[in-house]
This record gives sequence, C-alpha cells and structure tokens, in this order.
Amino acid sequence: MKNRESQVMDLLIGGIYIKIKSNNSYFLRKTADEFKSFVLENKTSDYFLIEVIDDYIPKEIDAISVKRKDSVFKAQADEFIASIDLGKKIAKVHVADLAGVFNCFLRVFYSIVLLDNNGFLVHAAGLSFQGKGYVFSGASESGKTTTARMAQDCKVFSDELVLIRQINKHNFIYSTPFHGEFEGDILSDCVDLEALAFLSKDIPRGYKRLSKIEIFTSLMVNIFFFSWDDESNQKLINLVSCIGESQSGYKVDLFNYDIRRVINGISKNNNSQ
Amino acid sequence: MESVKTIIRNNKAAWQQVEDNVIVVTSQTRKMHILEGVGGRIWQLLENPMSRNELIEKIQIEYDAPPWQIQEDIDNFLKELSEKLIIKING
Repeated sequence: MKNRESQVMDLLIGGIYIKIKSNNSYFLRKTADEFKSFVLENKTSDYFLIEVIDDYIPKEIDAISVKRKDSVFKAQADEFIASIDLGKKIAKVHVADLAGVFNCFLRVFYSIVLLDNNGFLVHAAGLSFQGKGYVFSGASESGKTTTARMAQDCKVFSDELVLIRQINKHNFIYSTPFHGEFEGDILSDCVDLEALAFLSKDIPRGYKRLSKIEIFTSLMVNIFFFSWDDESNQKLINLVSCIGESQSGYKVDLFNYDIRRVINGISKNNNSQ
Repeated sequence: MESVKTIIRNNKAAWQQVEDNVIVVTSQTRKMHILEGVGGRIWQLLENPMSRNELIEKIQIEYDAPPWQIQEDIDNFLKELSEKLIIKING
C-alpha cells in the first residue's frame, strides 16, 4: 500500500547530508531500515535533496553512463535514471521498484558529489584499528570481504566501497552503507587514514612499501568513477595525487600473512619513516 | 614525420605530475596513460606547441643518446601519443 503524500528521511554518509524525498512511504521505511546506521538525527540546513520516484521500467544498458553539462550530471543504469545538479544541490531519480536499486543509485550519486567535496569511493575493505584507518583496496575477488571477516578487534567500515576524503590537508576514511557479503554490522564512523594498502599475493613479510607513483596508479584503478569528463578527470587526479603524496601506501599479502601482523608491520614502518 | 609542422598537447586532457612521471587522462579514451621519464619531459616541453625538429633539438641537449636514436624514439613516441589522443599533430 503506497501513501502518495511526500515524506522525507535524512542520511549522513561521508560527512555529506542528504535529504531523501519520496511519496512512497514503504520505500522510505525500507530505506531507513537498510541505512539505519546512517540515518541522521541532528539535522543541519546544508543538505542535498534527492527526490525519488519509483516509476522506472528497467532497460538493458551495457554499463552505467554519466554525462555532464556544466553542474548537471545525467546518470543512467539498468534500473534507474537520474539528474544530479551539483550547483542547486538537487537530484531527481526515477528508480525501478526493486531491491537494492536505490543503494546502487546512491553509490553513483556519491561518486559524483564527492568529487566536489575532496573525496571519492574506492573498491576496498576499510578497517579501523586502535583509532586508525586502513584501506585494503583491490578489484573484485581480491579478498576484500575475506579481509573484513578476518579483522577481529577492528571496526569494519565496508567490505566493498570505502569513502576517502581530504579535509584541511588531513585524510579521513569514512564507513559506508555500500557493502558486499560481509555479515557484520557497519556503523557510521570516520577516522584518520593511516595507510592505503593494495591486496596482492606473494609479498615477503606480508607488506611492501610503495612509491608515490605506485600509490597513485594503484589507487586510480580502484576508484569507483563514471564521470569521464575533462573537468571531473582533472579534479580526481589532483585529489588522488594530493592523497598519494601525503599518505603511505603498501602492497599487502593477506593470503599468507595474518592481518594483525601486517597492520602492526605497516604501523611500525609508518612510525619509522 | 619530418614534414610535421606543429605538435600540440590535447589541452583538454587532465594531467598531473607524480615524481618523474606525468599521468594523462583523456575523456575520449577514458584511460590513464603514464608518461615515464623522457615521455614526461616531452609532455612538459609541449606546454607550448612546437615543431618536431624543435622538440628533437631540446631533447638532444638534455639526453645523452645518438641523434638518430633520439629522432627515431621521438617519432615513435609522438605517433603513439597521437593515436591515444594525448597530442595533435598538425602538418
């Protein structure tokens, strides 16, 4: 049963406040439940409004496409079509009434909005250990979910997409509701980023420090990014360069080495530099 | 290639210097290209459009290699950059 009167709910992901408006109360309840750790209670006046209309008929599309004209982005995938105006901070999305579609849209939405907020989403497992953030990045099947599952005594920030932002020259990692098959709870959180790690195999001692260019290229290929216009490209590579310059990076082998041992090794290595 | 008049960077391409390398991303190819060493230096020199011969002269001053080798390498490199839409060759 759908209530046609518009209602709103508020989420805070990566320090960016969004207000979701829909006339489908069931959709909002379902979304509030899915994103429960990220529902915002202390609301502010600075938000991005997303109007959700559940009338989209799925279409087969090769890949997610994003096109830009000035500050307006048009995004299209199999199960949604959206217009995102960064200038006015308003988005309108037509979604198919299927499970997971709004989550999929939000990933694309954040990949666009974050670029204007010195941030990006990266394919990674994110962990917080003793108040410090570690990103374990890698492609599909590289072991991100396994890393999250192995990480005892750590808070898990995601096993699929982690959010990184640079604020006042400090790098932060934020948890996200964009996760894979990890079964545990992921709570809204943010910590200083201690190291970027890239999942690999056959690394002696379990970790190997990377050069700046290796950090840059490893990070670039793992960023969740669809907006290939020149302005967005320039913003992204400037940001990745800034983060790569200021952050240590490692190739890590968690197949053959214990995760706590690798984290301790990285931490010691960082302190000795 | 000797008749080439002017070599021009794709000024719309996004780029960034990282250590001795230049990273170039073009919206047309949607790919990240890494120009290492001399390649990165050629990109820097092309900040202002110049002829093939001017470019070869400048590289000959900076790098120790036989002139024929430099000419051959630069011609191959420029062809590759042009195919990847990183530069435009007029003439």
